[in-house]
Amino acid sequence: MPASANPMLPTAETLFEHAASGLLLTSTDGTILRANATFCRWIGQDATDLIGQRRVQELFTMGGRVFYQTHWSPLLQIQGSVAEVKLDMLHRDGGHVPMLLNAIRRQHGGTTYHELAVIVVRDRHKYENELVQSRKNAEAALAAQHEAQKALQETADVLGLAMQGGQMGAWSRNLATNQVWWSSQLEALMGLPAGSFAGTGSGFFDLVHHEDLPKLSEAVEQAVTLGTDYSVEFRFRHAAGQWRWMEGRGRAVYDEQGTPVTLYGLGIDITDRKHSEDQWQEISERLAQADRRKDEFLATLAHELRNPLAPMRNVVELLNLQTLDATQLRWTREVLERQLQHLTHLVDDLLEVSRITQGKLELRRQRVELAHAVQGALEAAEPLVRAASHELSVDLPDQAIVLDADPTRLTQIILNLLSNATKYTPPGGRIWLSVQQVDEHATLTVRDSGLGIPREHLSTIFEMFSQLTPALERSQGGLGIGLALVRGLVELHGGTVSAHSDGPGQGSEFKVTLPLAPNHHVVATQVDTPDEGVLRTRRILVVDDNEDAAESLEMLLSLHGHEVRSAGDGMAALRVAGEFLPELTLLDIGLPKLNGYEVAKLIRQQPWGANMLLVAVTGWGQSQDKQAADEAGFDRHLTKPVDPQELMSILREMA
Amino acid sequence: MSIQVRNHVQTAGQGQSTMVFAHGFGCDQHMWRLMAPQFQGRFKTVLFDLVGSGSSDLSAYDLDKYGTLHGYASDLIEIIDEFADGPVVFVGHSVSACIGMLAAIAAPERFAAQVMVGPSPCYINDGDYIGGFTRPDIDDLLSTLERNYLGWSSTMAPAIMGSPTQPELGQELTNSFCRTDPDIAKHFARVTFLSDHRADLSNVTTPSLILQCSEDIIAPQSVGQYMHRSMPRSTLRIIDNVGHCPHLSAPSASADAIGDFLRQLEI
Repeated sequence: MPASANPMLPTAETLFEHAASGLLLTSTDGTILRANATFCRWIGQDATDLIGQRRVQELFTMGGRVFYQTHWSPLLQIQGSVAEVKLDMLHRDGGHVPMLLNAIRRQHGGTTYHELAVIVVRDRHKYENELVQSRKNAEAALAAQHEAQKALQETADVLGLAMQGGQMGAWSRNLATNQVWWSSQLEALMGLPAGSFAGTGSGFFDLVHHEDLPKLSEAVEQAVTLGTDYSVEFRFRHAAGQWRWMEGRGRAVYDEQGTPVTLYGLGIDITDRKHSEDQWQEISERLAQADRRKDEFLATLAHELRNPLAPMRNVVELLNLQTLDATQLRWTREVLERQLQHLTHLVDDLLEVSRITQGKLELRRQRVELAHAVQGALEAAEPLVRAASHELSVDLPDQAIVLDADPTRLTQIILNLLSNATKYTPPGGRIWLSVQQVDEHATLTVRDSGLGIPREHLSTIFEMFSQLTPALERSQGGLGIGLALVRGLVELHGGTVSAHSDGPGQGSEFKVTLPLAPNHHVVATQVDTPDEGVLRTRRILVVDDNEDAAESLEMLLSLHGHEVRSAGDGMAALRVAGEFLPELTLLDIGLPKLNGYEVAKLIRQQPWGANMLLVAVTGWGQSQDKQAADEAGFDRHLTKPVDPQELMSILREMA
Repeated sequence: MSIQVRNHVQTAGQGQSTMVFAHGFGCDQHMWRLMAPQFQGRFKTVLFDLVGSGSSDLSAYDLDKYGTLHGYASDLIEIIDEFADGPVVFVGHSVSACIGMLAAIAAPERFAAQVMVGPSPCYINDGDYIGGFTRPDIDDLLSTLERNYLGWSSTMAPAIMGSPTQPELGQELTNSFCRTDPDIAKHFARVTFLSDHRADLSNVTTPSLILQCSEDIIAPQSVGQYMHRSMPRSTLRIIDNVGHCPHLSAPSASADAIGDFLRQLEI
């Protein structure tokens, strides 16, 4: 075919009108100057309705119009072209026709025009819709995945915290490759930096105590064989060097053939639990020991109470059966006195110790010369020492040592130490008592040549109910509370007591250290003992529902020349008091009909009772009893059994 | 990060006073290429790209910060603080007119005057207020933008045809012009076309020129009148122009209007 114009070819005009794409020519403001038939057909418009009538941007949907202004126009003006823009055009019937547009800005004869070529892209539009939808779905899926990952991470974080809090770590072992994974918590439990675990089975087993390896392996193997969980306790070496306890729990996972594939498990640090188990064990042993001691003590107590009762019963039998001469009578009296004193001493010790342990003992402190207290104790201990044929040496300093102390308790401390030394020294032994002043303290040492104390008992010897051997095996007996009482009293005075012994058979030494009184250089004036001879005759009423107690006291007071009456209950006491008008009434508290407090209050309301000396007599010398007695109007308070000496001193004071 | 890099700030010209130009939605500072040079004899000019547009640092685009126009306004104040000495003449196109307004309310001492090119405080019709768009229109726009990401960012530059009358438009320009990250463009479009700053208009104390096109579907004349009524110290000038970018299609008329306005203020 020659290149010359072929009359059979369509004209350019025809080609323009019916091109395979829509063609448009507009002015720079978008006014349509030409539009081919293809374009008009696609949007259902007549060319005459478009040309010179409409701007191309008006054929777009609203989104396209804005895009035309924000992007299309600037691009055309600055670049001179726009390519491959996809916009919806409005069909005359209102429908949208998706179109792809190219445009060029060109000058023709000095005027600038925009030339547009458009094609309909329905398939591509659908395809894009799919793409856009897919992209949205993908984005939604991605967002959901992010959410899920976040939630998973949070769960993992929470689980990690929980495991950390529970001192746990997780691990797994691939049984085929023997590769081991450890959670960071497990590494932390082992004291290893995160990520530093070797990742092999031996990396773990190397940390396990070799003695525990067999039971660990056995537990795991058994669980793998049986398909069960295992739980085993073993020791592991912490990175810091010490052995700690771990509880391992785990189980295997199997493939379809039943071959174990993976082992999963938890390691839990149970060192603290183990320690508390040990502590419980210790506490429970201590409790059991205390319980044993208490049982022993009760047995000892029964024995000790029975000891003085036996001779007393014998004496009473003798008194019933025989007419005794004066010597025999004196002997019986001495036996009774001794045993009574022994009983009273036992019960006093018991009471005191319980008061000290309950924090109820109050000291009556005053300035006391230590030598006086020593003297009192020596006098009281003398019969015991003599009975045991011990030789007692006393070393007192020339200079007086003054303490701020309760004189009765001070004597009690020394007496108990002497009594202890006497008991634990075989007859004919030696006892040394020495007093010294060292700086601002006084030390009192009681040493003996006796049985001594095994080293292991030195620390417990001052505890309640502690005795070196069960009481029944010893001839001397004792409650095992004497030293506890000493320590309690010494500590109340702000002092210390210690025991020393070179061992069994080497004797013992007890040393008490007490602080000196402030201004201890001033020697306390000694209280003169009043003359016992000048007792005036008094009218005395004794009230006690225990007839024996009332009558014996009545008899004792009568022998001293007093005029005495007795009453057995509260009502009788009031009646007798009203008739007899006693100067002194000894009033038991636990009385029938009216108790002692009520009787005291009623007496105090009478004109004759206001100045009467009222003395309460109670079984338990507790401080709250004394307070109740004060409130009821009692002048004095005595603890049963009434000490005749104390009663005499009250009578002396009634000047 | 420096403000210069963040906003791709470009300065030119000589002058006592500074003029700051901010482009609108869709393109970048190249929009001012016909306008800014007309002022460079008398002013120092500062051009920049909004973060997320043009050659700005896209990594600085924070969804929260730029979730409102206030984020852009605070950037603008930082730019003025760094690149201008005294109070500036601010020229903002389209959405940047609103951004400038928010900045001028926040820091009025930094603004001698503002020129608002094709502004709209609210694009969606609301009762008596005619913004020009319905909500479905905006949705259609967002959808149109979304569809044109597909080929837009990757194929635009190679498809450029020669521009014999303006040979200075080289490859560098065409590669960057009007291209941006699709996700940022979508977000920016939402923030722009769903914003409503009508309540702020009365708080403007800076002398303002509202420069409107006679035919602009994005900012119809009713919007210009509404703004003029609401803003104290405002001047309304209509440029005979079809479209939304008089600084491109009618740069001389636009520059004349701005010149008149500045003369009246003796700037």
